Order: sequence, then structure tokens, then C-alpha cells
Amino acid sequence: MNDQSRVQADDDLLIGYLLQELDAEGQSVVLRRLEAEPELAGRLRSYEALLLSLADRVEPVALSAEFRLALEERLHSAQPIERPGQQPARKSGRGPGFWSLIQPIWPWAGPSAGFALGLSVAVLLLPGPDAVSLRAQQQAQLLSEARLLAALTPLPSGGLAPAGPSMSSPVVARWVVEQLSDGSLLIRPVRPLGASAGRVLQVWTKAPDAERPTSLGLARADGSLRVLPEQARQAGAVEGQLFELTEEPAGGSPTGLPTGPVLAIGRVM
Amino acid sequence: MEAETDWHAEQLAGCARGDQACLERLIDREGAWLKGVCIRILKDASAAEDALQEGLLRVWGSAAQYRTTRGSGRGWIYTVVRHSACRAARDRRLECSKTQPWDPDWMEDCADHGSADAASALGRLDGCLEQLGAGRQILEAVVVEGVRYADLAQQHGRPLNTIKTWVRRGLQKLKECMT
Repeated sequence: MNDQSRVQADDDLLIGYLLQELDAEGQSVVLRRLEAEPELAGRLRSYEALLLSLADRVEPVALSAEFRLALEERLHSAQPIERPGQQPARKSGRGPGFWSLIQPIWPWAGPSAGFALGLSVAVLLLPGPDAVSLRAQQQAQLLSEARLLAALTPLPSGGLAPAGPSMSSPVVARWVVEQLSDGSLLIRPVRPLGASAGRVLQVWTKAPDAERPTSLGLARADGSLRVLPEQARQAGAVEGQLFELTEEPAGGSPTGLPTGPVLAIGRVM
Repeated sequence: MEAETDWHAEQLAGCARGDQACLERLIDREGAWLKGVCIRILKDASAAEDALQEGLLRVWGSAAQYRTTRGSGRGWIYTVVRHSACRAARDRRLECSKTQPWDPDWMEDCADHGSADAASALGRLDGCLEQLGAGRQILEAVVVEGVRYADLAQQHGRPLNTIKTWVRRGLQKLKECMT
């Protein structure tokens, strides 16, 4: 087997591994070689990145309200996982029940306003199964009337915020700002995005006549932020108003003004 | 944002320690997309959630086996969940070989600031997929729809090795185009 044939055979092996096409023996061979051959591991990552970019094109679909409850039941009914030398599994410590916490919903509503996504996200408290359907109904009502205010894109070279959308030379939004029917604002990513390890995403807004930006708060782990009606009213959302996300140290900007890199920026249309 | 991969690996490390909050965070960020992947394979939302639960339980239970040499944390999670969906599809005797037309790009074009820097990876991907011609359908069938090599070989009346070669060449062309 010449070098080219060997490389092709290795590539077939790596792709087969990523696509789960290998039998148990083939998987073992790949895993052993990956441990011993950094160059092979590098090639694996490049193929993996391609596969992930294709997966990222898939339309996200909201998890049902029952999903986490069902998963929790299955987690708790499963046999404890043996992890030699490690502490036994523990609760997250965030409340009386693991899933009794704020969680996102990602309903897909289709394109709106001729160009923007209808994807919406919001937060929902799940105190228990009895409240799930009512909360979900309220949530659906809020989201069904969501109005797109701004699409936030990566900062262009030159540093100027985009003046507004255009179809002639499109770019892809990273986050969108929506106004829900209760007056709250929802800032959420259009694909999974979050801060680097040890960093947080902070959302800012600056009205056209304001001297400096104001923080709207820190985004959740999934990159979204819901700004409640009263705060949203104070922040405003008038035409030309700027919204941006920056990456900041844990706990948020130490100065009260953006200090980290701007991940996305845009204006209310 | 460069440390995206590290974030997933950190959550996997937390899962390996038994920290359920890490699994929760993974679901927060990736759940909707993982469900989308499962739906593309299973063609059924309810079955997709079952497969996703199965996959996440496997992520939780085998997170200690994850090594950085096995790829990125995010890639490993998608591989595990995808495997669950493919296995569920086989169990359901689904005809995975029936590929569907590619969905319209869900990433809408939103703004124009005249900067090539802002052109997204997804935008480039569109153009590169176009260049693959017929190979695009094969690649999407295998990667997105979860169609097995053996099913494609039967569908196209070609040897298994030919399918492997098609997939490899498709991915290599895509990689070259994206570079």
C-alpha cells in the first residue's frame, strides 16, 4: 500500500468512525490509534468540524415541555453509574428537583417580516407537571406574537454597526432581538452559541441619543436573555437603537461598560 | 468564542463527575439542535425525543470515556446522540434510504454591512455544497439523514467501497472548498 492509499484508507476509517459505520473491532482500532497518533487525531477533528457544520444546518426543534421531566425520571430510575475513584452522582443543588429550574423552549415559527427567523426562545419555570401545560400555553401565546426588532451580526471590519438589513449582500445573524406580547424583550442566538470557558455574555443597549450603553444583563448558558417588561420599557427599543453582545469576565463587566470583544451588534429597524 | 469546544468538554467532564447541572447546561444549549438532528434521521418528533433521551443518557453514562483525542466535546456528543437515533431508526425498520430534498437554509440573511469578514461559515457551506453536484445528495443522506453505507450501496447498486469513496471524496472536496 503506497502513501496515498494509506492516507485514503485512514480517511475512510476516520469517516467511518465518525459516522458510526465501524464494527466494534474497527472502533477499537481507531481509538487506539487516535491515542497514539496526534496527526490522525488532527485529521479526525477536521472531518468532525465538517460534519458538525452540516449538522448545524438542521432546523432546531423545541423540546417538548415533558422532555426534561421524562429524562429526569429515566435518570433517576437508571442504575447508578460506576465510576471508579470518583464521587457518587450528586444533585445539582439548584432546587428541590433537578429540573425545577428555568429552561428554554425553542419553538419554530417560520420566517417573519420577509427576512428574519421566526425562531423564538423564552424561559419557563417548571414547578411541576401540573403547571406544565398552562405555562406552555402562556408561553406559546407570548411567542406567537413576538415581533422582530433587530438582527445582530458579527462586527464588520471598520467597527461601524450595521445600519440595517438588506438582501443585496446578506450576512447571517448570530442573535436576534424580539419583543414579546407582554412587552418583554428576548435576545437569543439563532444557533447554539455561548461564551468561552470562564467568560459570560453580556447584553447591552444604547439609545440613539444616549451617551453610553446600558447593560441589560448576562445571557444564560444557551446565549439567550429575557428582559422583563418593566426593564424593557426603561431600556426602550426605538428605531436605530443599538443592541450588542460582548464577552466579559465571570460576573459581568467590571466597569459597567463593555470591555470584552463584541460578538454581535445590530440596530432596531 | 474560540473555546466553544472546551466548553462542551468541560460539561462532559462535569457529567463524568456526576454533576447533573452540566448535563442540564448541555441540553440548554444543544437540545433543540440535537432534536433537529434526530428528527432528520427518524422523521418523527416523538421518536426523535425518545432517541434524544437515550442519547443523552448515554452521554451522561459514558462521559468519563470521552478523551480529547476522540474529537471535540461537541462532536462527541453529536456522534453519541446521532448513533442513538440511527439505532432507533433501524429498530423501527425505517427506510432510511429515502432521502428528502434538502431543507431551505434556516439561517436567514439579515443584514448588509459590506464586509466580507461577516460572511458566515454557513454561507460558505452553501456554495461549497452546490459545487459537489450529485455528491451533495450522498453526503447529506449519510451525514444528515443517517442513511447507512449498506443501504446506499443497495439503493445505487454499487459496492460498499464505492460508497465509502464517494463519501470521502465529498467530504474532502467540501474541506478544500471551505479552507
